[in-house]
Amino acid sequence: MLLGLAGLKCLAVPQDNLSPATRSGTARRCAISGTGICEHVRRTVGRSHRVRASDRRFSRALIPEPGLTTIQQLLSWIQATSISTAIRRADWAVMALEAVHLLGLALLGGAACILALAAVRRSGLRGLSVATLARGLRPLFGIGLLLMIASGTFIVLSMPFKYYLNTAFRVKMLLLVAAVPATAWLLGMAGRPASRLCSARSCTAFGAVVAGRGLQRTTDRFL
Amino acid sequence: MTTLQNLCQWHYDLPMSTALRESDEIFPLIETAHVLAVSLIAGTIVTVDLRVMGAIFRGEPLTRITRALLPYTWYGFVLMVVTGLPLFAAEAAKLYGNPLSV
Repeated sequence: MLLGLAGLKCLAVPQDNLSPATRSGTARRCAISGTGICEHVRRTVGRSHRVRASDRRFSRALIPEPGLTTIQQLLSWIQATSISTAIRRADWAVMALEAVHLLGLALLGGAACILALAAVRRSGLRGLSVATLARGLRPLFGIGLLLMIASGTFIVLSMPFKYYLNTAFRVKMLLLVAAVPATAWLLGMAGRPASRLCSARSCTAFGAVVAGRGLQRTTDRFL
Repeated sequence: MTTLQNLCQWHYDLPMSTALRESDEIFPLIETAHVLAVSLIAGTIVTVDLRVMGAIFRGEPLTRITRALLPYTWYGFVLMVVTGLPLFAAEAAKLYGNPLSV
């Protein structure tokens, strides 16, 4: 909260008070502390769990500047909350959250893989029909999704600017929003004696979930 | 340097490992397949475990579940090893210092 107030103070500094170098962007300094970007980021963020070249892009976004948009102000506020700061600064928090995220993925992805494998065959999986599997695996979908959403929310809250600026993250969220209701609907359908059309469709929906996951893994490396 | 470290460094220095390490697309693609394999292994194992506990598939005999899922646990394992080896080779020297990887 204190950092949020500091941010607002920075917002109040008129552009004219900044040195020409600051305005032209050649030597960007924080308006309030007068320190360079690195020092400012170190003070504001503390340790981050991964430092990559692209983090500089999101680090720049941490410098409170005049003319922040509403969404940037919101992100600044989220970043300054105590929970966000605590996760960001702890050595183990993001790692632990990622472990839970991967565990959720194993449950959700595993159930999706099994069901998709059964759905591409007419006879199901060695005597187990898609309907039987869909009914039995439903708890795995639920628990896996719950774990992923819970841990993912905290990871995003800890570094809102990083994920806001990540295009692949937005694509992933759109895929997720599309895939979850589709999968839930198809699970309901597949729970009844399934038609082959339904099987094919469920396969597509699970494909979307898997694509979303793969995408994020991919961009983890890119960004 | 120990023999193991020399071996890791040798893998790390291979032209193929270097190319993989520096690639923008191939490494994450293999990594994606690796994670999918993990979820296939873990998913099938957890399903069998939950059936043994009697939490899911109560109407189905245990043997039917294991017979249906065990082959896919092995397929997942094979996929994980096949994708894991190049991923290891690409970062072998770095992973040698990581106690969690060995």
